[in-house]
Amino acid sequence: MDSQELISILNPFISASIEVIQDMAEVSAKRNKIEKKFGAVYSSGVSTVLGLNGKYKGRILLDTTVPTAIALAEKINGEEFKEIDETVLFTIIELNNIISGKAITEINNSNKEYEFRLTPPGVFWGEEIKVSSPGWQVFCVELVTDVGSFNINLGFEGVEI
Amino acid sequence: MSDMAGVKSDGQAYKVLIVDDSPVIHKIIRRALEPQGFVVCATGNNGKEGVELYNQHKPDIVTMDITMPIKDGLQAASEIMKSNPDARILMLSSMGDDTILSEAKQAGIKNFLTKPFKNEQLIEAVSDILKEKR
Amino acid sequence: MDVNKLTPFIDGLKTLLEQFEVTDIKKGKLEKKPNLNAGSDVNVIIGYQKDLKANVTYSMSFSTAQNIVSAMMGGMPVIEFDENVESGICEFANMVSGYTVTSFFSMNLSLENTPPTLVTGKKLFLMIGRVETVMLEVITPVGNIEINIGVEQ
Repeated sequence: MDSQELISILNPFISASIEVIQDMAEVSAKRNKIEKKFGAVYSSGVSTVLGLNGKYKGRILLDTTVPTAIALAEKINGEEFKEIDETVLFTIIELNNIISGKAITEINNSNKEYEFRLTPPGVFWGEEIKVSSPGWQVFCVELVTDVGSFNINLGFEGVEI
Repeated sequence: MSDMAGVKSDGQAYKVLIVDDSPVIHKIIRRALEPQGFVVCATGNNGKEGVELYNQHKPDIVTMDITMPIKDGLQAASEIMKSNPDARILMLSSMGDDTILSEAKQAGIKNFLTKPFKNEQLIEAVSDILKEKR
Repeated sequence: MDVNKLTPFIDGLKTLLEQFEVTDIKKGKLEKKPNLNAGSDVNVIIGYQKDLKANVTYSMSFSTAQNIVSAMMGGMPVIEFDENVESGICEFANMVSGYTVTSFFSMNLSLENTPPTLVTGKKLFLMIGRVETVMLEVITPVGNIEINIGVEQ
């Protein structure tokens, strides 16, 4: 994978995130900085992880703080939540599932070789959470929204740019 | 005559079966359809439950997710179609690449709506399927 | 859930531990849960696709992870949970999933695994999918390991 191909995979995730957050939560999001990290990503509080199989094996980690996760869940459900509960988690899982499904659909249709499939999403939260994939490069894009930042982290096994 | 999309000309409500592994989607679909007079007769969490609930409730229309545990939505929809060729099924999924669409076509499923959707889009898609001649 | 389809995940762990001379492995408590959740210090998540869709987590304490990596290095002492341990545990998980995929292949099931994801933290809670999950505790001399197996299809 070269940097151009990486961008062609990363961009659909960015646009799908912006569109889905807008459509489901009616929150507008803007793309901010993009960074390359090595081996590990620290969660800001609540993270959803989805595995990717296909031409490349990889992982998508979508991450927000606890207050941002609660705010998004409130907007999507039209209810108030005082803390992280099952409904908030299921909402965040579904939000990220839809973002990833939409992005993967676009990527697969752009190039028949990819044939990406997603593994069922997992969600986790807690303190000082670190998600490691030793030896991997992880590409991180921050989206800025009115309810806090939303981070997209994408990494592929054996891909170095 | 009612002008609500969920009410038949005889005043009866259309019965909807929702099949999706996400409880959030159950809620979102209810919120879109119930104000239009539709009645959600049952909700299933996977394709297997979807097939069972279809046979139990014989709903007027089904909304069916694709990626679900136990049995996926394409399998469930084609099973329902086999024993109920007149079934009206709307596939509702975030995944919808060409491979999936052609698999669906082969199973005789032609109605798709991608997630996320707006309430009006869902109501329109459901109404269109209900108008199809059987 | 078909018990035969749980065996390769459990055997993979047991066989690999034994290869690194961690023997005397016992089965502890077994539980069925409505979804896959875990919450130890160290959690390795592996997704499987194709003929069997499943998520599996191996969860343990920091010290158990250190002990496993120590065993992998022929007993060399490992005194802290650092990047080498992270890398060692992921490598261990890769070997376990490799064994698992091979076992399924001999049952005529073709599986593809995602690379392991390692999640560590404090007061961590992890949940995957709404699928009936079997949790098995594995008791070993290097510490207990909790295996969660959620088979989707």
